[in-house]
Amino acid sequence: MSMITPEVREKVDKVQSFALIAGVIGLLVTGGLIAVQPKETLQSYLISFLYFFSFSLGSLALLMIQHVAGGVWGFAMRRLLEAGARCLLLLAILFLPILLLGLKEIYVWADHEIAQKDHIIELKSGYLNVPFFTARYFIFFGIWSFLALALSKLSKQEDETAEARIGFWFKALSGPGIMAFAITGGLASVDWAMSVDVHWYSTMYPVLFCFGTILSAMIFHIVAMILLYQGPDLEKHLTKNHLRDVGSFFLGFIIFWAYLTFSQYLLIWAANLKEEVPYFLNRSEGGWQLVAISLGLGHFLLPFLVLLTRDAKRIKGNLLKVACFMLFMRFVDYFFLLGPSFSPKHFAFPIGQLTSLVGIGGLWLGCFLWQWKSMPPIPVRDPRILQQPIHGV
Amino acid sequence: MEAQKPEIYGMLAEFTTPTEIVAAANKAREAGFSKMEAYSPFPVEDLYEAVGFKRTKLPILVFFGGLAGFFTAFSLQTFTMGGAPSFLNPFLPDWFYYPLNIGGRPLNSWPAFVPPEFELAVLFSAFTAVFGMLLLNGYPRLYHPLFNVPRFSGVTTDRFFLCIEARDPLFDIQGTRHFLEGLKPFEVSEVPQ
Repeated sequence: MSMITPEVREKVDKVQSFALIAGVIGLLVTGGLIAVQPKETLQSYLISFLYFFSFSLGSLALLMIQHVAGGVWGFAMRRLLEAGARCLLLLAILFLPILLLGLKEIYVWADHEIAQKDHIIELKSGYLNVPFFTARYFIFFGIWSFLALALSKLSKQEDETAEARIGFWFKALSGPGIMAFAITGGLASVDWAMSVDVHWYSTMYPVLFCFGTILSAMIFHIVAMILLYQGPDLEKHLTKNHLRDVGSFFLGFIIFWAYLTFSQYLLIWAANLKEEVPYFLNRSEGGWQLVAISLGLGHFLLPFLVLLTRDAKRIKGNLLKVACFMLFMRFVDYFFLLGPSFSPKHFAFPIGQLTSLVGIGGLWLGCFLWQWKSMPPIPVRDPRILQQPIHGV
Repeated sequence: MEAQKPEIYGMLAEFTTPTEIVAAANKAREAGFSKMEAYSPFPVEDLYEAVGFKRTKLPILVFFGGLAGFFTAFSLQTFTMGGAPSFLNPFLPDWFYYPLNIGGRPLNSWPAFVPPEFELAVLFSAFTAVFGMLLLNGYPRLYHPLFNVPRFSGVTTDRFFLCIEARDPLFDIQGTRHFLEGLKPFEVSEVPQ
């Protein structure tokens, strides 16, 4: 007996094949564009990559957090998180175009001639050089893939044997795993995103990046739960109180995102140092300031006010609308993270941005749905299945 | 205009288990009683819905409390730095203006004003939540008619009480007592005013 109803399964199959086809076409068009305008297209490709990467890395982080912290919210979401985390293997492959074609187009420090003339880059070259960058790519994805696959394998064993010691192994792996996530995620943010502005640095950046992945994943899985958990077997794991819990997480995470983003801005604004301010000067002119304002309103103020109300968190349709809107705003956030570094003081949205978004997004979504179907959608041997509230005591 | 105060506050039924009181409250609500209150030694899930508990105005109050905090901090900082609208000038004392040049930054430096705005918004909304909750619950209150029933002291240890109040439109002494006795309570007592 399958918990997924035939109608949902049919729709998922359809969406999956459509996404995979769109993904392949998108990547082929992007490949063509790389031949025509390599710089803009590869830069856009990096932004699209980071956007979808955030869903997978965030899934892994949330998966480990819920293993350590417990809670019924994590129980219902667990199989979605595992599927999202396993897509990290696909993303490791999708990073290859950047590694093989794009280093010199995207990162100034990867170009020897420029690097030798620039004293600051020369001083940083002990860390920022192509062989070490490549080695770190293997280390990061090695650690993440190991964690994702090991936790999924334990999950499978739990389904088959229901042994209590597996619960211990989940925790034993997740505790150190969270530390590894914080360190590797932070370093990856420096490698892939912050080193684009090679002279600039911010200590808030890795925190913001790591947390951004968790926020992305939480929003994505709220959408996924609402759309996929249909039929009697799955709906009972998505009650109104359950929705309110994930909705509260959603609200809290948005506030924390605003807190981190604003702290970074306030400190740099207040210090007013000439090494630090160019980052925000590039983002405050030529159209970028409108993107910044739309982030403040759309990524914080609007969802904050809407999610304060109880009905926005407890009613499926309402929460779904807010979450879908926020998925779009997450992209705007990633676009604003790097777009102005590639095109300072002048707004630009290259065509490659759209095609790479479709390409990577299609493949990622197809892979995610395929992985989700490969396991039962609810971990029925998880002891938390018994934690239903008892009414009237 | 003041209506004659009824002689009694309400009719009190005593129960010994939480399940019984939830069932009793459900029956009373279905029978059409609206002014009733349940008392228990610990929170009982589902009892809120059973007594027909309506959502309170507290969240709205807290929202406006937070907004008031935000605007207090905003106006304090902006006005002292000289940013008050000119029509307010005749009403503001001289010492109110205290413009500070901090490292040559503009007087109206909104990013620096955000942390106090946030802090005051949190402080005011927290105060509104705590004191608003107390006020909406009818505190401070030193006396309650229920204390006239000696058995009511059991509510702090192991007894559950359902009180149908005299201000309920369906209330009449004989009828309500009869109704409550039909719910098989441990005891029914009249609560004098």
